[in-house]
Amino acid sequence: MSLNAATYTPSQAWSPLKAEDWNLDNARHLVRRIGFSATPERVQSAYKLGIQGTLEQAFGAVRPFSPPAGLSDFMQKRADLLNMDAAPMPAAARGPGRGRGRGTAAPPNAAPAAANPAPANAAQARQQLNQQLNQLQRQTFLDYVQAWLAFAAKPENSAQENLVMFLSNVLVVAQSKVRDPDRLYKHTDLLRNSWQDSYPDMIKSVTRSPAMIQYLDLNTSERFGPNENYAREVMELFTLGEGHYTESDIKEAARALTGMVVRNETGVLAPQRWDPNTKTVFGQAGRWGADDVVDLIFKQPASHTHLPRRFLAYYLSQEPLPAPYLEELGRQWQHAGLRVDLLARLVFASNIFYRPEFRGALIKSPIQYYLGLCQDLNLNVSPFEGQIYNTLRSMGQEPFNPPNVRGWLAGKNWINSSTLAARRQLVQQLFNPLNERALNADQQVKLAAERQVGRGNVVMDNSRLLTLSMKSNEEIADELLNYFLAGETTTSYRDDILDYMQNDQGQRLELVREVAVALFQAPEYHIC
Amino acid sequence: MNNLPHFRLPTTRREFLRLGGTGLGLLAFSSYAPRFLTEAAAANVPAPQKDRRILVLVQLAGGNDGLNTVVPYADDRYYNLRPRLGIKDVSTMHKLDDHVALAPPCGAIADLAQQGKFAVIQNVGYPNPNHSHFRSSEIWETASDADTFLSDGWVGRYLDNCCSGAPEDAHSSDPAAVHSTVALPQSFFAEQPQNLFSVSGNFRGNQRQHRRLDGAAFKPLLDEFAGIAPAGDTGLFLSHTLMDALVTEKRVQQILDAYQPKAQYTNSMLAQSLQRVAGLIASGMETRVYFCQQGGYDTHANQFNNHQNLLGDLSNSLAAFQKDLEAHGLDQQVLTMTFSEFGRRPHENDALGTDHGTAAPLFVMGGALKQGGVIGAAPDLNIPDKSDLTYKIDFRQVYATVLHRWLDADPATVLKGKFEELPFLGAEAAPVPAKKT
Repeated sequence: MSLNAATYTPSQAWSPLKAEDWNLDNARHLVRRIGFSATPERVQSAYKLGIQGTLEQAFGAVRPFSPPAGLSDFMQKRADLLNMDAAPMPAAARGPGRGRGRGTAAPPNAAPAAANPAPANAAQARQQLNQQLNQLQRQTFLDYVQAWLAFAAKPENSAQENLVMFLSNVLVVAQSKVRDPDRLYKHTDLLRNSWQDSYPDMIKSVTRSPAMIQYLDLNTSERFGPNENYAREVMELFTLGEGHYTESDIKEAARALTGMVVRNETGVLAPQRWDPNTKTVFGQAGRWGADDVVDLIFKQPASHTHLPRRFLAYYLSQEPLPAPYLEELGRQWQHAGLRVDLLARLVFASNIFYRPEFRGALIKSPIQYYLGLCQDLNLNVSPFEGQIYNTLRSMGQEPFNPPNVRGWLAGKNWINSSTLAARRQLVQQLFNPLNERALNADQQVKLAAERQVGRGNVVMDNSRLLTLSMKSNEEIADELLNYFLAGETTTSYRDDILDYMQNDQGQRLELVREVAVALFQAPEYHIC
Repeated sequence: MNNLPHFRLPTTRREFLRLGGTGLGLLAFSSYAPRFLTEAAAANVPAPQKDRRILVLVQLAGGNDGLNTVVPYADDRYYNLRPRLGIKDVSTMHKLDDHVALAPPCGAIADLAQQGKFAVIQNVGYPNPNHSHFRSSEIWETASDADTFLSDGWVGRYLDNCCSGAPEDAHSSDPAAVHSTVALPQSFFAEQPQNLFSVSGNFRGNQRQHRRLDGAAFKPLLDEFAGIAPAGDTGLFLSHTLMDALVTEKRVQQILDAYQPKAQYTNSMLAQSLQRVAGLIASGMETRVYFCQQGGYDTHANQFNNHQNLLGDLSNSLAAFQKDLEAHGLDQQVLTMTFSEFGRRPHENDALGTDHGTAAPLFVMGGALKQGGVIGAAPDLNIPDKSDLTYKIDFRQVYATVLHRWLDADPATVLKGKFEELPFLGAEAAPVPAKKT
C-alpha cells in the first residue's frame, strides 16, 4: 500500500519515531520485520528495550557463524580423493595426512579413503572419482545449509542472518554454478563480517570473493579478452540500477576489472592479466583498476539510493516510495558514511517504518516462513538436511541457490499453487508425529544425536498438543491467536474457532491440531 | 465440461469449503471465492475457450547427444568420430531419409514421422554457445543471446504479454501453465504473477479428507461463517491465490483420478507426466502450456546403453501420449516439442561417453504439423577433431514459429527480436474462436 504523501515531508519520514509513539504494536512490527517471528516474549523484551536498545541488540556486533565440521574438512577430503586418483598405490595404504590440500594434516576422521576395488580402466576410475567428489560436494553443501538454518533460527542471530539474506540477494552467487560449498560459505561469511563496513568497501571485498569471481566470470576476464559480466552486474544490480550508466561505462569498467584470479582460495590480481591502459568511466579517464571503478561508481548520485531502494523493497514494501523520500534516505545514508548497518538503523528507527499502511505488506520468503514456524513453535531445525532442503526447494527457495544473478524476485513471486501446497504440506508435517520407523538408518542416528543435545524437537508431537487441548476452548483460541497472529486478527476469527470447537464431536487432540494447522496455513501467517 | 459429465464446480460455500482437505484452513479466507465462482454467479458467463491450441514442452535435461539420436548413417565421418559409440547396424535404425535415421529404440516415433505427425528439426543451437548446463539451460529457457541475461522465461513472457488480464477478465481459475517438475521451470518465470500449477511426480493433492468436514456439526459454522482476509493488497492477493490453488488442486486430483487413458503408458516418470498432461487436456482445462522433463542425458561415460534406454523411454512415452490424444480427438489441438540445453561433442571421449557440445536436433510432434520428417540439414561433421558442431537453425526460430503459428502471439515481443520462422507449421495460426464479450 502506498504512502500517503501528505503524511510526512521526506525529512519527517526518516526522523526517528518519537518515544511516546513506541508501543507494543510497533515493537511487534519491528521484531517481526527484522527477524523471522514475533513471539510475545520477544515483543515484550523489545518494548522494554525501546527502539534503540532493540536495534543495538540486533545490530550492535557481528555474531560469528561456525561452519559445520564437514565444511572445513571438505577441501582436505577433496584433496585426499584427488590424491588417491594420482597415486598408484591404494589410498588406504598411504594413511592420513598425505593430502595435498592446504598443507594441513588430515584430522583423524578425514576422508575414509575407501578401499574400492581397482577399476578396470582409467576412464572408469575417473568417473568413479567424479561421482565420489560430486557426492561429497552435495553432502557437504546440504550439511552447511542445515547448520546455517539452525544458526539463523536462534532468535539472537535472526536479525543479522536476515540482513545477510538481504545482502546475498543483492550480491548474488548461486550454488548451481559455484558448487564448491566452502566457497559459497566464504562468500556469505564475507557479507556477514562486513555489514558494519561501508557499502563501497563491501563491494571491493566482493570483487575478490572467489565465489563471485567464479560466478560472474571475472576469472576469465583478462586484458586481451575482457568479460563484461561482472562490470555489468556491479552497476546494474549491486550499486546503480539500470539507466545510470552507459554501455561504454560497462566496457571500460570491464577492462579495469580484468586480471582477477583465485589463488589459494583468495581473490587476487594477476598483474599480467590486468589491462594497464587508460579507461574512461563516467567521463573520468585514468589507468583504473578494480577498486578505482568502485570509487568512481560511488561518486554517482544513484549509488546512494540504489541499496536503500533494495533495502526498502526487502524490509518495508515492494512498492517503491516516491522519489523525494528515497533521495532523502540516500542523503542521510551518505552522511552516515554509506555503512550498511547504519542504513538498517536509519530505516528501522524512522517514523515511516511504523506507518500502519505497511503492516502485513510483505510476503514471507520460504526461509522466513520456515524459520518463523520453528521459532513460533519452539521447534528445532530439522536435522534431516536433504528433507529440509527439498521442502524449501518446493516452496521456491533453495538456500544459497537463487535462480539467476538477479536473485529471488520475492513478494508475489513466492506464491503460486505449487509453492503454497508445499507451505501447507510443511505445516502438516510439523503438526504430525514423526514416523520414526520410516526413517532410514542415517536419519535415526542424526535424530538420536540431536536428542542427546536437547535439539530433538523437530515436530509438534502429541504430548505438546495435549497440554493445549486440556484447556478450555476460549483459552485455546486466545492462546493460539494472541501468540501466533497477534495484532492480525479480529474477534470474528476467534468466534469461528470457538464455533468450530464447540460444535464438533471429534477427538479433542485432533481438533486442536486442526485449528492450529489452519492458523499457520491462513494468509495472515504468510505475511509480515 | 463435455469430457467429464460428472464433474462440476462447487457452487455453494459449503461445497467449496469441503474441497479443502485441511478444513478450517479455508475459513480464514472463505469470503474470497475463487474468481471463477464469482463469475459463475454472474449472468452471461462466457464459454470457456477450451478449443485453444496447447503447447507441451519436454525438456531432455543434461544435454542430449544428437548424433546418436538422429544418426547420420550415410556419413563416414560419423563412424570416424565415433569408432566405439557409433551405431553401426543400419538395419536396426529407422531411416528418415537417405542421410539420417532415428536410433534403434525410436521405432514408435519413427512411425509417427511416417504419418507426418512427427518432425526432426536438425542442428538447432545459438551463436557463441555456452558449455555450462546452468548457463545454457538458462539461455534456452529465457531465449536470450549467449551474452545477455534475462530474468524471465520465454513462456513467462508469452503469458505476460498475451494471456494477462485483469482478474475480472479471467474466464476461470485454470492455471495458465502447468509443470510436472517440483521446481518452477525457468521457462515459466514471469514478471507478472501468473497462475502456475505443478503436477510433479509426488502430486497427491488433498487425498486425506478429514472425516469431520462432512459431519453435521460443521454445518452451522459454514452457514454462519463470515470470513476475514488480511487487509491490504498483499493479503487479498494471498487469499485469492490460496483459494485458487486449493480449488485447482482438488479439481486436478478429481480429473486425474477419473481419467481413462486410451493408450498404454509405461511407468517411467516421463510417461506418467505425459499421461497426467493428457488427462488435464482432455478435461478441458484452459491451460495453454505444459512442461515435462526427462533427465539423465549428461552421458560423459559409458553412454551407449544408458542413452539408448533414455531414447526408448522418450519415444514410447511420446508415442503413447500422441495415441492417447488421438483417441480423445485432441491431436489437432496439441503440439509437443522437445528441447535440451545442448548437444554433445561429435568426438567420443576416452570414457565411452561424450562431453558437452553445442547444436542438436529437436523434435516436434502433433496432428497439425504441416511437415513431418526432417527439417533442416544434418550438421557438417567435417570439422577438426574434438571441436564442436556449428548450429544452422537458431532455437529462437523454432520458438518464433510456435509462438506465431501455434499460440497466435507476436514472436518479436516475446523473443525481443525477429527470427525467421520454419515451415513445420502452417504460415498463419488458424483463427482462434473470438472471445464473447
